[in-house]
Amino acid sequence: MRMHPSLEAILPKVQKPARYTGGEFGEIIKSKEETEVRFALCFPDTYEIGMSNLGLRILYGVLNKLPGVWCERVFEPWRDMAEAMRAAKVPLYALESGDPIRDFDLIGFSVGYEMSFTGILDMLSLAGIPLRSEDRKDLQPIVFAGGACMFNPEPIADFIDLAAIGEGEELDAELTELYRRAKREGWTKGEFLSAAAQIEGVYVPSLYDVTYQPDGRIASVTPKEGAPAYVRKRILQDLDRADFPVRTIIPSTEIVHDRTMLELFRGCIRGCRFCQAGYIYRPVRAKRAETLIRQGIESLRCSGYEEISLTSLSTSDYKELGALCDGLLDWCEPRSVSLSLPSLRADNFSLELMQRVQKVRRSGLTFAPEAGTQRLRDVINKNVTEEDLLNACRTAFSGGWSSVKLYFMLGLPTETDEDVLGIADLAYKVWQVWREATPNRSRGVRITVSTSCFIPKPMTPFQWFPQDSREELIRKQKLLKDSMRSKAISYSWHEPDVSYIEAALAVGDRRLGKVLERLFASSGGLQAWEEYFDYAAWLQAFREAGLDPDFYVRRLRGEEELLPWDVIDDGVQKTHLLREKHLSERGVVSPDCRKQCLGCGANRLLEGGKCDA
Amino acid sequence: MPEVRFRFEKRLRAAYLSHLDVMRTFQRAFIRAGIRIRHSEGFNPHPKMSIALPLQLGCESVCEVLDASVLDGPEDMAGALNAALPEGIRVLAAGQPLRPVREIAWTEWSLRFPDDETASEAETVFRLPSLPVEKKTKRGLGTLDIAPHIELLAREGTELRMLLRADSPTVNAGDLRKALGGKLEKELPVRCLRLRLLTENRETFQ
Repeated sequence: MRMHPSLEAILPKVQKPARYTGGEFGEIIKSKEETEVRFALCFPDTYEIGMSNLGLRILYGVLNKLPGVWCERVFEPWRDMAEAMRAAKVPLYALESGDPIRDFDLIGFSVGYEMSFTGILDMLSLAGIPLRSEDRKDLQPIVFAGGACMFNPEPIADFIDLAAIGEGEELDAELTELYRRAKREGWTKGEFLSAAAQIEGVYVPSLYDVTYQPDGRIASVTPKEGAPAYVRKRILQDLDRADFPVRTIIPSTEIVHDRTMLELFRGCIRGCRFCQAGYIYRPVRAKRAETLIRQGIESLRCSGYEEISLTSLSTSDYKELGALCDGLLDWCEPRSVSLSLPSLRADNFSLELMQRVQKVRRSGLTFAPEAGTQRLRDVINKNVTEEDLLNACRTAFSGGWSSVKLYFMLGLPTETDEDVLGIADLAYKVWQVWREATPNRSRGVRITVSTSCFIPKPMTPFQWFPQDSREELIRKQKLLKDSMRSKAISYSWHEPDVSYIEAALAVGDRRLGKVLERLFASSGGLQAWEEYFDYAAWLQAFREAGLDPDFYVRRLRGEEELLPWDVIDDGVQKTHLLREKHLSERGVVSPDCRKQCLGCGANRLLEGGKCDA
Repeated sequence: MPEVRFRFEKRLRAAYLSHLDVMRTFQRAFIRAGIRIRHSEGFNPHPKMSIALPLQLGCESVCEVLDASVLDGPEDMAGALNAALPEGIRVLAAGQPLRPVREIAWTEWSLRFPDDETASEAETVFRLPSLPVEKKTKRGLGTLDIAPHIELLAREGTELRMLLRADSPTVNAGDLRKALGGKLEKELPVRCLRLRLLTENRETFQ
C-alpha cells in the first residue's frame, strides 16, 4: 500500500488505527498494470462490523477471482478519523492499495441495516464523489448497492446508480463484466445503465418515474427505456458448488465476530410473520454436511481461528446437524477449537448436542420466544410454546448451564398489556425452572430479558402494519420493567427513537433522499451508533424535507396500496403475504415449510421448482 | 521442545498494531504455520507466550522478542511463520533464549525528525538536566524525571540515536514525545524505530 503522506501524522492520534492500514494476512494485492476494472467493495459502517460480515468476504473472494479485476475493501471511518482526514485533505482510500476510491470504476456498497444509509453518504463525501447519481455524469465511477436493505432500495434511490437485488455472487460478476465491456467500448453512463437494467436482478432507480397521490401515497411507477416492470432477485441454484472463501482475510485487530463462519443454508422454513430475513432469502437451500465439514476444516486451517460458528437463520433446523457437528468435532476437539451454535430454537433443542459442542468452551444460551403469550406468538407465527421453552431451559439448567438470554419484541400487531406482562411471567417461570432443575443453587442464575421494538419490514406479512407510538413503547417498557419479579432477571431494551427512524427508512420511498441528505449535512454518518445517533436532527431533517415520519411509521397501509418496494420481486407472491397477514389477524398459525408447503412462490426461482425445505 | 525465542521486526503498517493485536496475530500465525504452543490449564486456556517490552502504537522496531513454549513444529519455524504473518511483521530468527528477558536494561532508538532544525532543537531538549514527564504508574498518575534515564548517543542530520532505560523505571518513546511536546513550539511527527535491546553492560541482548 502506498500510504498518503499525511496518514503518518494522523494514525498515531486516532482510536484503533489498525482499522485504517490494511495489510492483514490474506488481503489480495494485484498489479495495477494488469488491472482493467477497479472495484471498491464498501461497507457503510466500521471495519469491525464490516469485516465480521460473511457476505462481504464471499464477494471479495468471488470478484478477485475475475482476471483483470481488483476488488478492494473500504469501510466507514470513525468520527475522529473522518475529521482528521477531512482536515488533512486525505480522500477516502481502499485498504489494499491506499488509492483514493474516487478513481475506481465500480463502487459497490453492501447494505444490511437501514441506519447505515447515511454511512453511504459519509463515505462518498469523504471520497470526494458527488452524492447524487444525477451529479455523476461519467461512466466512472458507477455507484451501486446490494444487501438485505436493497429489497426496498427507494430511500437511497437518489444516490445510487443501480441496486443489485438478491445474492451477489453471480450478479456482481456479471455487472463487472458488463462494465469492463462498457469501458473498453467507451459507453456513456446512460448506455451502461440501460444495458445493466436488462440483467436479471438489477434495478436502476432513474429508469422508473414515480408519481404520488395528494395524500402522499404512491400513484404510479412507470419504467422507462425498456427497464423491467418487476426486478426479480437473484439466487444461487447450488450452494454446494458455490465459491466459499476458505482463504480469507484475518484481521490483526479485533473485530466483532472474530471467528470462522460457516453458512449451513440460506432461507428459513419457519415463516415468522415479522421477519424479513425469513422471506427475502427464500427458497431454502442447504449445503451438504460433507461440503461443510471440508470447508470448515479448511477455513480453520487457513485462518488459525480457534472458534467456528455455524451461521444460518435457524441453525437447529439444519437437517444434517448431527452429522455436521460430528465431522467438525472430530477435527476440532483434539485441537481445542470450539464450535458455537447460535440461533437455536427452543422446540428442537438437544442437550446432548449442546454438551458435545460446548466441551471445549461453554457459552451462554439464547432463545427468542419473541412474544410473552401464546396468543401473540400465534399471531406472529412463532411456533414455539411455553412448554418448549421451559423444557429447553430445564434441560439446560440440569445440564449445568446457569445463564440464559431471552429475546422479545414489543409493539407487535395486536399486542395488549397482557402480552407485555406475559414476558415477565415467562421470565419468572424460567427462573422457577432453574430453581427446580439446577444441580447447584448456590451458583446462582442469570436470566437476561431483552426487548426490541417491532419494525414493519418490506416483503413480510407485517409490512402493512404500523409501529406503536414512541410514548406507547416507552410505557410498555416501563410496565415490563416494573413487573420483573426476581433479582436474577435483568431487563434491557432498545430505544424506541432509533426504531422509529429505522422503521421510516425501512418502508420509505424515494422522497427520503432529501431527508438523508439533510441529516447527513447536519449530523454526519455513523447513525447506527448511539454516540452519533441524533433523534432531534432526524425529526428536523424530515420537517425540512416536507415529510412526516408518521406517514411511514404510524400508518396502516392499505392492502391495495402501491408500496415503494413493489417493483422488487423476491419470489414470494404478495397474495401469500396477504394470506399470512389475514391469518395473523385471526391468530391462526401456519405450519413450517417442512411440514407443509404453503405455496409462497419462492420455489419458482429454482430450476426444477422444488424447494429443499 | 523447550522455550523458543522468536526475534521479529514490526515495520511499516504493522506499527499501528497494538500489543494485544500482535499477540493475537502471532497466536493465529502459529496455528497457520503448524507450530503448536503449550496452553495454560484451566477454564479458559490460553497459549503460553509473551512479548518483552510492549512497543507503543505507531513505533517501529527491528528487535522485538517473543518467547513461547513450543510443543512441536516444522524444522524451519521462522520460514513457516513468515508465510503466515501479515505485512510488516517478519521473524528474523527462532532459537534458544540465551538470557532471560529480565536482563534487558536498555533499548536503543532511532528518532527521525522532519528536518535538521527540529532534530537539533530536540537534541537540546534531551540534554536538559531535568525532564519531568507525567506517567501512569500502578499507583495512579505520577511525575518522573526521565533525564537520568535517557542517554543521547549521536545526532546525524535529522536522526537522533538514543538509549532509554528499559526497566525500573521504563522510559518509552511516548515519554520522549511528551518531553518534546512541552518544549518545542510545533507538534512534530517523529518516526520512532527501536533498533536494539541491551543488557546492563551494553551488550546486545538476544
